[in-house]
Amino acid sequence: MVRDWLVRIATFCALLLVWQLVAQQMSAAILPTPQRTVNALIALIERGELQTAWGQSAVQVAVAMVLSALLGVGLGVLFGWYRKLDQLFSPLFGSLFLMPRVALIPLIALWFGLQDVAKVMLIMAFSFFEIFFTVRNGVKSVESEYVDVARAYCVPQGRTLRTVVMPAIRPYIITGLRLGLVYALVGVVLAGFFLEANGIGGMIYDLGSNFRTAELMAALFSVMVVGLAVNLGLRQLETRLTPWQVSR
Amino acid sequence: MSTSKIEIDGVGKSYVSGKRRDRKVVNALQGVNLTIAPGGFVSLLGPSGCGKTTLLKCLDGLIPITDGEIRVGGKAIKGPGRDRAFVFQDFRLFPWRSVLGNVCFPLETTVSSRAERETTARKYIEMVGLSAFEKHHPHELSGGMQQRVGIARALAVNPDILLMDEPFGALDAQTRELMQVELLRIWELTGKTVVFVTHSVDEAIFLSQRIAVFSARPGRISAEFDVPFGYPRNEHTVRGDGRFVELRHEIWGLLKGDQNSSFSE
Ligand SMILES: Nc1ncnc2c1ncn2[C@@H]1O[C@H](COP(=O)(O)OP(=O)(O)O)[C@@H](O)[C@H]1O
Ligand SMILES: [Mg+2]
Repeated sequence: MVRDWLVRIATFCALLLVWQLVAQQMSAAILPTPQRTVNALIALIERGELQTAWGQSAVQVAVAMVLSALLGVGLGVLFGWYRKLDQLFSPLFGSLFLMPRVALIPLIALWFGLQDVAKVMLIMAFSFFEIFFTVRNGVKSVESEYVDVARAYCVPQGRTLRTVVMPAIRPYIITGLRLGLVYALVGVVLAGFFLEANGIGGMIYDLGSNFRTAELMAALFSVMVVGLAVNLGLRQLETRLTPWQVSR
Repeated sequence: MSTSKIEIDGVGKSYVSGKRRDRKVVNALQGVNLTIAPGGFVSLLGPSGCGKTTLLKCLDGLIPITDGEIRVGGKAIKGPGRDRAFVFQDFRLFPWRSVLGNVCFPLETTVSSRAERETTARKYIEMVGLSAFEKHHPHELSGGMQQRVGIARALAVNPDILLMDEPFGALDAQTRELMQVELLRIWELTGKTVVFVTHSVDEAIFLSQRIAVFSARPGRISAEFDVPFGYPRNEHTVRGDGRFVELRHEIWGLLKGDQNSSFSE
């Protein structure tokens, strides 16, 4: 563990050094030095711009995630459990899943405008499918193993769904939510690019178009940190809630 | 009321998989006949893939048979019933439930009072010697302990018949021996009818009154043997007995003669 961290820190320092060396040879508009980037980050925070942007994005992501989670888990369980339903509708969901979701943006803009409703829809287009498919596959895979036990003990279907399937798919639900949230971040950034320019996506877009490169780098850095934190936090939750899942 | 508990009458089972062109039919069982007396302990012995699990699942009603009839207590079975309980080779405990929760699980559909369920469950947890572990979760227990929970769960519904599918197959030799002795003790205590699937000749002889030997493809019973030892049995006296060696030799000969068998011990 300690060695892992030493290696990581060493790699980070080496990258920083390379960045510094390369940046010294270039115009600050193309690649600012680490020092300038850090200063820009501090300035963005001091002016409250970064917090405002993330605040707007967080609300959009939160609303979209709640809806995606409800729909994704609900439909995932339904489709996993009722094979007929799955055979009927899965080709549709499958092809929507395979389609590049960015391509939906013009349609979403036409239907829902450019404001928050449209943004929530776009984020959902990214997060819903991850949750839905993970949960549906989870239900299918716990079927033979645990559902057989319920059947052997004459437990009725509804009860089996409630007391066996639901707890058994808990790890799949959490994994689905983690993947969904990671993709929601993609969605919220794109929402700021193509719909009303606010939130972190809007901020990144504006900074880029105005050649404020140091601040742009700082904003990107914040996206990276948020992505890492989301992933790490939900992984922790995963091991906390399902301690029997030793290797995953 | 007939004198036999279980009557397996010309049972056949074929699995159909794939659609249309890729349709494949596996004849897992064909013309299987066996009767088992109430309170009897019968082993189904044979190489892997010969249809032992299939027959046991048919006995439980987990899968439908395609030919013949299975009667329990004189009545043809139509599906799983509360008079039979299945013990799985891979334990199949719910990892999110404690030992107590797992044993209570089958009672939740029949007993509405939680206190009553827990009293019943505790009785069987004690019987398998796990009282000190009732709050533990399966992943905190050894394989042997997990299967004890599996057995307690099956006993908790107070079935007439215990169907056990290689219950000790996943355990190490030492634990396995302990569990065998334990199972015989519980069997004598409760008077259940036991159908025990194994691919170990020694295990079948040590445990059972009768042994039905399977041959593969399509699975059928090729011979039946009576085991000439009374109960309680002692591992060492049984193994040292000349009749054990003789019976073992005879069954081995039969299994080796079966070309399809993939035996090694
Ligand atoms: N669900 C299934 N679908 C198709 N074939 C199966 C299925 N289950 C078992 N079989 C086949 O039936 C035969 C008997 O299997 P099984 O009863 O599991 O044998 P055993 O328990 O003696 O090892 C094997 O050839 C196996 O491949
Ligand atoms: Mg088997």
